[in-house]
Amino acid sequence: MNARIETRGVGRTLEEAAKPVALVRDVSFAAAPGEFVAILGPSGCGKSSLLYLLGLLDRPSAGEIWIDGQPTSRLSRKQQTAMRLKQIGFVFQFHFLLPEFSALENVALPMRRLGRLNGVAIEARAALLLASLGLGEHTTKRPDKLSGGERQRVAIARALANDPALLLCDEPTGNLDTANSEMVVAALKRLVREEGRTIICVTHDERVAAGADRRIRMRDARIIGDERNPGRMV
Amino acid sequence: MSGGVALLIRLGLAHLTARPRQTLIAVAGVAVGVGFFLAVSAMMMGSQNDLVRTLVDSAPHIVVRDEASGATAQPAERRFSGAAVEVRGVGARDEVRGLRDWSAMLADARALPGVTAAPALVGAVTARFAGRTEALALTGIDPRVEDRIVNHNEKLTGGVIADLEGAPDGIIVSVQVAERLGARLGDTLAISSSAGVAQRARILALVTNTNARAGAERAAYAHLRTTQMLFARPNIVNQLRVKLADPNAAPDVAAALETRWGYQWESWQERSRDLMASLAIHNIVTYAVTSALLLVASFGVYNLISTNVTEKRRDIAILRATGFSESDMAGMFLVEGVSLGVLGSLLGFALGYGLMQALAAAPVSIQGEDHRIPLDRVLLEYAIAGGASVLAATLAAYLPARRAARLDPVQILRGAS
Repeated sequence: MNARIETRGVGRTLEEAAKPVALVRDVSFAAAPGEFVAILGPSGCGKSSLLYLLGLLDRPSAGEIWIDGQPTSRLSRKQQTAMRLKQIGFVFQFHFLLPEFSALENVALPMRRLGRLNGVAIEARAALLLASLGLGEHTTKRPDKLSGGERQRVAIARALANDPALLLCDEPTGNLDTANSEMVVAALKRLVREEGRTIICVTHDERVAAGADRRIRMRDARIIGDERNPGRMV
Repeated sequence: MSGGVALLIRLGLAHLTARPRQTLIAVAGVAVGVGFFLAVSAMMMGSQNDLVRTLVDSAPHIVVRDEASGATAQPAERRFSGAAVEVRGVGARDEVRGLRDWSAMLADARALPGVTAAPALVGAVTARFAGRTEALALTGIDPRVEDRIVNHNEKLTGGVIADLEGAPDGIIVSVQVAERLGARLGDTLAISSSAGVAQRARILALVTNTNARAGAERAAYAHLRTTQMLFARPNIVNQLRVKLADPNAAPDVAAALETRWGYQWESWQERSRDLMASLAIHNIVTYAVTSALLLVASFGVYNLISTNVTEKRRDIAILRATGFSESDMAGMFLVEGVSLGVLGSLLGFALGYGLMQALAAAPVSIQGEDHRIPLDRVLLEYAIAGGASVLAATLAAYLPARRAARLDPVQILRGAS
């Protein structure tokens, strides 16, 4: 099996409440390298919860998740953290850029944490990533000097900093206007086509869904549909 | 973790510079704590050292007197130690007033390294001048050695101790006694002793008495031989006065000589035991007060970092998602605590130094005389103040830092979208 990410029977139940709440029930699917998967569904259906599980931010109550063939449920928190650093990138609806740091420094942070490159190489790569997202002239600006679309693209550059094979997005266009949404979708598509990354994108946005290879629909914490995008058949 | 610490320092400092006013207030709190800690402890230690120096310099380090240090044990008591022994009809033996074998003791004491010793004869005399009478506690000394045992000269006016040598009729009295007698430098007093001997003595010098002890102004000095004649006890000595190179060794040396020779060899520490005890309490109070200053400063640090953790929840969530660990989060906020402590200490050093300069320059008037506040400025105090405040700031940062480490990124992410 050469799936980039695979889940089998994954469930997540919140035990803290008086009555246990199932956030995710029995989710099984696999995504191949270079595949762009959109997860669609009404709000509260468990798509974000599923994404946190896939990104190892949360632990499933049942089932197993494999990332690049490695089972993850037995990993220690430290190992999961290391895996997030090297193999997984996140883009959220809110940009979550650190306000005190420039666009370039925000993108550089994950690389500095990983410590694989030296300072010069880190800044060069951060500049390159920003330029490839059309932000070449904004590298020294702080987030509060950038527009919403620019911020979100900086956030995408940051998610790509350590060259992760898996990119997880949670409503990446949720706060953006049409023009900016299209720019973000184009960027995501390019990442899949040209760089062979796997993208799993939780969204409401039909434009995002239209750009995906595959659409998984969820309702009431379950997957209720998994279809190839006819318009995007390769 | 290569370069990881540098990164955490960068993140932590960014939080501090993002809120300059609050940071400044927290730093100022630490600085004031450190500054006053330094000034107060320098003042406390200074006055204490001054007091101890006076104690050490103004009297011999060890004095042995001719009172025996206890009733002589009966042979029967020594034989049956621990048993109840009753011996009847014991008469107290008349000891000859004066130290027995004093010249052997003196030679023995002088043989010890760093020891200067001299004999003295102390007794009560009466001085008369122009019809007025004053009681004096006269100490007959060896003027050639006395200088090396007690530092009198800086308190003397009109002459020095060594002037007594070659002046068998010389006497040194205190300014107060001279005033009460109406006598001046060079006047001749009529001295008479309990032995019924009377002699005329000329005032060679006056002692400025700064000792607060009642009756201290009655101390007077004359040549040992003159005093022996006054008391009609030639070649008798009732005190040995010992000075050591190291005043702190006094109790040990005293104990050693006491076992060998009997008598009570009293060290300056023993003589001023009450004072030493009150100084110890004084020290505890000093450190309690100054530590409270540092404690209050650490509340400010806690408050700032705790607020920062709350304000930086989103940063924490994204950093954790990006692959920063829980301990990275704690480290980031501990860096803030350490930085506040270090920065506050450095400013506090400057403040403390300034306060000490001001205190040192300020004249204090005691009974019309200008004094300077004695200050004890040692680098060790800076090290203690700096170390304690960095430690306090780090501990104050620890609780919020631990909270930051335990924050669940998923809960923050859910709330933020």
